Amino acid sequence: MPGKTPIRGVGSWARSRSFWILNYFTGCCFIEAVPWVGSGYDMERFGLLVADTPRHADVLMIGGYVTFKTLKRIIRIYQQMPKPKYIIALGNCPMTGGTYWDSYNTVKCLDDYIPVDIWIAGCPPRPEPIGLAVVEAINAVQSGYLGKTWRTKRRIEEKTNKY
Amino acid sequence: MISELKGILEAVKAAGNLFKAGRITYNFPPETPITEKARGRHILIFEACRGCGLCAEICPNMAIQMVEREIDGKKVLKPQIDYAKCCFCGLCVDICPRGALRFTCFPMLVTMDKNNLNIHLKCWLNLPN
Repeated sequence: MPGKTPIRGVGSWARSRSFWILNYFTGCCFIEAVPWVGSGYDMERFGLLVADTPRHADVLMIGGYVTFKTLKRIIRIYQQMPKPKYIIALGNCPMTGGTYWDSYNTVKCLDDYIPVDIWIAGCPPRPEPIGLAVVEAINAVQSGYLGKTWRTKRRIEEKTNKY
Repeated sequence: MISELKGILEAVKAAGNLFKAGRITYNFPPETPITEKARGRHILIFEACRGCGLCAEICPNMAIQMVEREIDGKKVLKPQIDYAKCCFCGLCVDICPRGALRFTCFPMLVTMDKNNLNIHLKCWLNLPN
């Protein structure tokens, strides 16, 4: 388990204990993420809630393969979210294409289009690594991490004009 | 009248059983139920591996690369697995003629930089819980 990090400011502490999640799942990773809603894993003890609209959400959770058609929607959802915003990507497909490495339509590297903060490997990952990712996110955010948004902003604008 | 009272008693009994049942939620992470059959990270037993490269050939996702490494002054080929591509199908474990590649039940593969997932395999028998 990652060690505890120092808490910097009340705002970052409050932000780290109340992630509101917007789910965007297109593949089998959804089945492995669902146990966190139930009482067995119980995500509400970490302060996670499922948000209804992107304007209420802090974290965008992307699972499963991303095609060029769904990529447009993801980027639109991402632009609607208020800052600071974070992205968690589940599974191998957003990372490298995974099993669809030779597909004509799958996005091979999601990192080129939107800034992803935490990657969870597995095909699909078990429910336990999702909890570890949440703990890592809490540790990073409470010490003042604001996401990778500012670095890749220009790159997003270039790519969105393309598609 | 009596039947109604019986019904109420049964309901109270059922509610009492809920208190007896104890908690369902697992503490995170030590109590999470990982079975021994779960496929997690690989381990490679160095003495058994000959570097034949069958695992790299059969891998459907091109996740395994044979990499030259120096052990005791000799250059030998050993597999290196990119967990950003591996789909845990188990073909490499099945085809290994000497049983050098094995699965562990350690599923935690979480990073903030995805280049960290390209992992040199080594014999790693004492797993952290």
